[in-house]
Amino acid sequence: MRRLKYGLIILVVLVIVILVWFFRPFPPSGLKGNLYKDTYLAGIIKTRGIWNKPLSSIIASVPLEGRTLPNIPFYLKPFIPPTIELYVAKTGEEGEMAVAVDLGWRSRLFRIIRGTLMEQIQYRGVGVIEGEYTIRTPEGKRILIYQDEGTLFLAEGDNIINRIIRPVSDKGKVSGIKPGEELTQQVYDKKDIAYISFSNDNKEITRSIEDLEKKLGFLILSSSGSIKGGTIKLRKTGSNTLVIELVIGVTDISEIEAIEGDITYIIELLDRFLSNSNLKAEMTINTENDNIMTHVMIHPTGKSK
Amino acid sequence: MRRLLVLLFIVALFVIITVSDGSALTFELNKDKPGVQAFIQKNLRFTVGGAPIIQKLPANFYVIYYSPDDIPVLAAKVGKIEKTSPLSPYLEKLSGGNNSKSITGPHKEKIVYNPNSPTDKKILESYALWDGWIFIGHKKETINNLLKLYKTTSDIVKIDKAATSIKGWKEAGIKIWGDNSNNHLYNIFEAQKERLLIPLVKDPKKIQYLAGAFTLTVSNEMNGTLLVKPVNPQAKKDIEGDLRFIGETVRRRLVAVKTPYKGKLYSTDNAVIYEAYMGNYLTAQGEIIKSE
Repeated sequence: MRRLKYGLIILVVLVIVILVWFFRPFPPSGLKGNLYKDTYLAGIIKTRGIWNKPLSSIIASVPLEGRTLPNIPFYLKPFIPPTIELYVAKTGEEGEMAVAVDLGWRSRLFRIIRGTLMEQIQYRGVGVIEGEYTIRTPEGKRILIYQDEGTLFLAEGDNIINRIIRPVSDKGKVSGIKPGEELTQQVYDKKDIAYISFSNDNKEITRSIEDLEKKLGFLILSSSGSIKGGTIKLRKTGSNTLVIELVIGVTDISEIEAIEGDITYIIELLDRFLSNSNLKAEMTINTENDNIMTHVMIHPTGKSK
Repeated sequence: MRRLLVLLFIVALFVIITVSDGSALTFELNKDKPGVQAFIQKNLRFTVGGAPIIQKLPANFYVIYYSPDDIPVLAAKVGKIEKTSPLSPYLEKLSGGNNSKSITGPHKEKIVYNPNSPTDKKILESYALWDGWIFIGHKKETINNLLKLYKTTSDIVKIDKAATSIKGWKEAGIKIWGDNSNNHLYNIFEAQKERLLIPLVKDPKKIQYLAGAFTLTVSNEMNGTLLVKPVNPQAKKDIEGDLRFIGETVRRRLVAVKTPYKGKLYSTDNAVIYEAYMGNYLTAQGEIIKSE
């Protein structure tokens, strides 16, 4: 009887040790520091904010991939890491993008399932596994799925992929947006959902917008050439109000009116889009020196559908 | 980032917007006017057994949007239809020939329909002849309800004085008009909200009357005027906002595809007016983002 008791205690201790070992978080990867080279847009998004109202209602109104996001079953939500970091860079002709996710207690779990995840991606026809960490899509794009320490990296674009799997120290040569501290501080505020900062020093924002306008056959931000850079912050205030704070720096003060016109049109589009979900977007724009500050409040209209 | 941006944008040309869905909104098209034949071929595809029926209608005909759940009704003054009339084989075919059935309409006229028509397809399958006018549509109920709106056939072409004051009204190849009594226009725009990501009219209840005149050329130029009467002076500001938004959307589309465009928005005592010139109205068509 006593032997059984000790045996049980040892078993419980063993299980606890295994669980502690299994769920012990790995430290975030130091490779993240390589990502901001040549980055013209970087951001951090808190996933919890995505499936809470009112953002979940907005995403649900979008009739594309986004619609599936709020429909994730509740028991799967804890497995989704709380923050996602996004890096968009331009090297050569093609734009490149990387997403870095600190997995925390999910680190070992993802390390185990990463191979299965890649096989599933191949099975679903997204692409063919090429090498240990990459998938080649039918369009010829290379997608990286790689875990280093406690960080999962997803990336598209050869240069940015090589920077993750074959890092070379280039201290002193690095330029671009460094999300690091500034972004991390932003998500400490519980009500913040996303923070994005962008730089148009090399006119990459302008080029991206012009490419998109050409593709769509529609002017979105015709004044983008006068944008220096800026930040977008999304946060929740109260139980059902979202606030977007957009700060844009301009290179040419004479273009302020044109940029304000573009922003006003975009917010008008947003307001009309939201009206289908009985939400309203109210905007105020202020200009201070060469900065345009836009404050948008999104809240329910009070009408029921 | 591109995908996120793509989600936010949509363009719909106001002609196509208004020719898309709705109820009790009347379009008058005159095939003899320049550019109208080409417009019809590209935008109005009413067929019977694959053959276009509009060619068999008189030069002046009407497309009337009544039910948001149904396709529009074609109407024209045709007089008496003989067996040798070019429309006759079309009417026989769409109504199922010898298998056709009929109900009596609000003016004791016969509404003939095809009882064996496939229920899942919105095709022309019913027609009514009333006092020299023909009405051709999908559901017999739609034609029946539409006919209830008119006391006499002159009501079909009854137009508000404000509409006839529109610049270029007489010369226009395409004219539209509709009033919001019984929420007819409201239903049109509410139905549009279900289809489009971006509603063009925020609160359709604020519209009292709507009319427009569009002059086309053979080289696809368009001169158009849209007049909207708000329900009250307070609603005028919102209507101005809607028309300004439509104008700006059209401008952004046309400038992007390098098509000449001029737009002007102004208000009178009781109406808001939007005048536009497009160098090639075809380039303004199409939605950037399709709704589900």
